Amino acid sequence: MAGDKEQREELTEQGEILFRQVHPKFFTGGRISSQAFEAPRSHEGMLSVDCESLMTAKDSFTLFTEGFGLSSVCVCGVSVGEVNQHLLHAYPEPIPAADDHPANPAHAVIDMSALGKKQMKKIASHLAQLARARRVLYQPA
Amino acid sequence: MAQTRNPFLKPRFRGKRFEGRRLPLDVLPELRNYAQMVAELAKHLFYQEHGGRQRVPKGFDSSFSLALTGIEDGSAVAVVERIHELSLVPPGPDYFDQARDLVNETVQAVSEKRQVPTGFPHGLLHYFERFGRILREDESIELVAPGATTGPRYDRTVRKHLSLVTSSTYEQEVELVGKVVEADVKKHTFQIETDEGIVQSVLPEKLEGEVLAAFKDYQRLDVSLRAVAIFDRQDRIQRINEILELTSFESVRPFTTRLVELTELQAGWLDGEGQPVSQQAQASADVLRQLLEQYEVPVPFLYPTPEGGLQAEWSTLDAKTGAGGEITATLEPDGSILWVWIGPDVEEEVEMAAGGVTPESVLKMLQRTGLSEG
Repeated sequence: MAGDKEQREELTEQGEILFRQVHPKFFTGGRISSQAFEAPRSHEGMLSVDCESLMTAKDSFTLFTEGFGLSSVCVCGVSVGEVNQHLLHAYPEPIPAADDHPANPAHAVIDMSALGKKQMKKIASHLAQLARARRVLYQPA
Repeated sequence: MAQTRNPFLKPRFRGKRFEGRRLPLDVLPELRNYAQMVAELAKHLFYQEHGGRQRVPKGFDSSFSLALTGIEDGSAVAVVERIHELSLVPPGPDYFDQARDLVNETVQAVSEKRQVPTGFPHGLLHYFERFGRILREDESIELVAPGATTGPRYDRTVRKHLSLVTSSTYEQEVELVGKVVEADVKKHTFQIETDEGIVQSVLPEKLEGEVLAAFKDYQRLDVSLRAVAIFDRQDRIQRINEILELTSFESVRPFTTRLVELTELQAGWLDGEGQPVSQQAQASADVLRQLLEQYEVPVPFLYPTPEGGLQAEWSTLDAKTGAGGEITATLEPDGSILWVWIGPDVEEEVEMAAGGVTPESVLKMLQRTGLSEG
């Protein structure tokens, strides 16, 4: 995945919001943990997001929880410009439909694969701070 | 006019608080209340002996004045002397000395589970409610009269029994911690929810602001108070009728509740991934919890980490510049801690090895990050 990024076109629309799902355990007292912006080790340093230009925050939530059967308590977001400010890049990575899940054409990734653990924590703190300032973009009633 | 000083009483205050010849200032009102009881009792004894008299003789009241003239060892012995002008003392028996002895006899009798001596008027027993209110469970006052080396011990139990002779309730100083769950400014009352239940309290005007703020922000703020409470015979608090001290502080409860919740996580909590929180991470969190309780440190938000650790997070705001900062302490599964803090002009990290996580080292980090005053 990381090797493919050389050939892929980067997301460049600075104002575009990238939706990020927040796991219930990373949300307490109305506050999003910075861990919501740490790329899981199992994802090779890629942080999954959905592009606002292709999907609403609500649809992103529904697809994630119902289509993929994963846990989320709300949707937050950072802009492509904010990602770039931290010298990171985001790439479109649509997910085709499979037997156990539908397609997600809005899917993209923020590439954090070059970051060490400490650097990841710092960047995640910055991104979470920005996402909190933007407030929760969708949360089911 | 010649003044004389005569030994009157050496109350020996026993208990940890009084060790090393230490007498908290709270004791002074107690001694004043004791003196009032003796004065009233002396008057009663005078009237009893002089049936039909409506007034005490001239100089009777002014002949009785007690002063604290020293503190001696053991734990702390207050030296209380009677200071008076000889010319003012009416001739005849000294009713104040008799009153002191009667107080001692009464305390002695009740401490031995005997009846209150018949000579002590029930109408004056309420004075005991105002004497010894500060006494804690393990404390007592030994009432040593001049010439004696020991005296009857006055403690919470004796005081309670004396109060309950003529009343169904008794007063006792208490320390409570809880949440303000109701406040009524018009009725000058508020309610505090403690571990033992909801307690009704008076709301003095000067505390209205602090109590109302704690009520409005009850999820975040706890209050701790030192107060005089009314208890029933079964030692249940009926109400608080005087607040001696009240402070509100950020509650540590959300942190401890959250910690318990997270330690119960099972493997796979993160959509099939996610390890249970390790014992070592729990131990680190416990160190942090202790410091939150002891020091004025903002209570962090707590989250699990996929690897079986915990993460404490603080968002800070510089009051002068309005700039926000983020402080993260990752309590790793092996017991080490990774501290990361970012702000407009700062990006730092510190790794604390597993063996180096102590209350002292964590406190130092809290001070270094500005979360605690150093």
